[in-house]
Amino acid sequence: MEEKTTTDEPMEDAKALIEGPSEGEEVQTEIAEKEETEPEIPFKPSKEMRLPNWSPYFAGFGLGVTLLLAYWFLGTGLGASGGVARFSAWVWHAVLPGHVEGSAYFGKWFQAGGPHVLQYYLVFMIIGVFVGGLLSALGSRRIQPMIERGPGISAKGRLWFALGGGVLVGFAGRLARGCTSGQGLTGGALLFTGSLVFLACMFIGGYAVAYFVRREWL
Amino acid sequence: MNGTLYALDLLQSGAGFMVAGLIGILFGFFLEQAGFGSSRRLTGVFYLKDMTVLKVMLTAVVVTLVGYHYLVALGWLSPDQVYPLDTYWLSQIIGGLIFGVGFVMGGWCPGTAFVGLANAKLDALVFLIGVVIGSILFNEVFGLIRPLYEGMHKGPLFLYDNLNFPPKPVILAACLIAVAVFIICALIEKTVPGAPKAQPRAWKHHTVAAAVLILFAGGLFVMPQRAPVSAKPVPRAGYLAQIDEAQDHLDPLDLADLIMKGDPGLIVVDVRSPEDYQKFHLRHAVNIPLTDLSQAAEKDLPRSGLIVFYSNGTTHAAQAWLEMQHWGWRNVKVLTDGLLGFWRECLTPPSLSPAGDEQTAKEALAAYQARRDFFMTSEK
Repeated sequence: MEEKTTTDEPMEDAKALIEGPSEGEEVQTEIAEKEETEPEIPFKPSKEMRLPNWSPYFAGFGLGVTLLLAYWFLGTGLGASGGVARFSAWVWHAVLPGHVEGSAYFGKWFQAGGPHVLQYYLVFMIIGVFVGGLLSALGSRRIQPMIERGPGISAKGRLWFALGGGVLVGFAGRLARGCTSGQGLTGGALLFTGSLVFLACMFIGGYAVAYFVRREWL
Repeated sequence: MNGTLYALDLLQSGAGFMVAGLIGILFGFFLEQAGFGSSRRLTGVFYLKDMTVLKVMLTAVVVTLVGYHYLVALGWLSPDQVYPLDTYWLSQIIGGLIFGVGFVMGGWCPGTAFVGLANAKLDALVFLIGVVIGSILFNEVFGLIRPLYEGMHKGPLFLYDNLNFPPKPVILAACLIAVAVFIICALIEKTVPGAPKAQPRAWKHHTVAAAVLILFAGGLFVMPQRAPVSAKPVPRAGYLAQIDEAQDHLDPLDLADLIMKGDPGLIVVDVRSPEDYQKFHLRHAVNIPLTDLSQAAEKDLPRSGLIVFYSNGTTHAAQAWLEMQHWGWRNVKVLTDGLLGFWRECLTPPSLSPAGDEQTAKEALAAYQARRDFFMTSEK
């Protein structure tokens, strides 16, 4: 929530920063080959400082153990969009309290005598995800303010796409009763049919439009 | 451990919040280490440029899948303490498709966007604002799309339920497929310039890791089956349909035939009290009173072959049948009309029932006498 205060100004900063999309080393060298005129950014952390990502299999193993612990102790697996939905309901309730309390979907979280809408385990989980991500990024010196995008799109364009994609993901996550984590990974790992169907359709949807937004990434 | 926080109804307590927060920290840490604080890396999979997403997700899936079934086999975790994820064909197909479009457009999914935020990616923040808007939008149109949201609800189905296969071979197959996908990913990345290259000698480690995975998945076959893993998840709609189609019943004459033939795959279970069982029971039937069913079933009743329940009438046998369906046995039937029906159909002279021509009447009489001899003499 606090992070939102930074929405406006960093745009300009970031615009200056992100001329060279700084990714993993490989991507960077590739970009450098393609575009020789890439301007040098004065205060970008040097490449030597940033630690490389773990092997995907090693990170995946850690993620699997985490999910296993979540099943063992919580009994529910992981989740993210459920927490964001609670936050959304809380925001919307601040705007239109009567309307939200009477609405069919958010309304059930605002019953008299019930817990506060944000008193929900997934709200705490996503706070944890942010904290864990921050610890890892700090430890590996990977924090770098930027708008991540391919060379073929403006920063502004990228942000519009991020917003639009976010709206679709927020909507679809509610419709499918979970996102990549809560529905796909969590359910898929136990071979729940619906979760596997969701995952398959997610990749189908992604591949179907990937070509049309390629300038955003490639 | 007495149970999961979900089963103890403690998710919404201080303990639940603390555990969820700690697991969230681990979750965020590993996501970040995987490189998921970068939207370009996340979307790389859609351009066959960077297969990290697929590798990380599939690895996590197989580790959890195999690990979970070991926890169950060791008796450390009971499947009925895990929140079952229902299958809703409509909303999961359409939701998945829209989600995928949003993912490749936005570059994030909700969980990874928080990691992106931790990496100070402005696009992650804007994406999350979009997710909030999308969630609110869903609430606003919920009344309209409710049929879509709730349509084609099938209960908590597992893939192996749909495939009509026992779980263990499906788990092993899933692991083998995962390894195959990893190999394909490596081949794709070899041909694509700019894809992240593995360490020069990494293939040795990968081979060992894959072998260990397959070994563990195969090891499940020798682990005891403590609890049915498709326990709760049997959709009631499914077995209610079976009742409707009368697939759940076996006629007395058919049962008599099977018993007299000595079919090795047949188990006949008498669910009445031991006293009733002592007085009379069908030959070769075993006695499992209804109250002992849940324990005895795990120990004595296989999931293949045919198990037939009977009581005096059908009520108690039908209760046993439902219970067994619920716990994942698909090979159970109930004797139509119970012992009374068996008596009427099989052990009373055929002349009392309307007969056809003389020849069939003779055969019927012979069959009746054979049955009478078989079932009315005591077992040695």
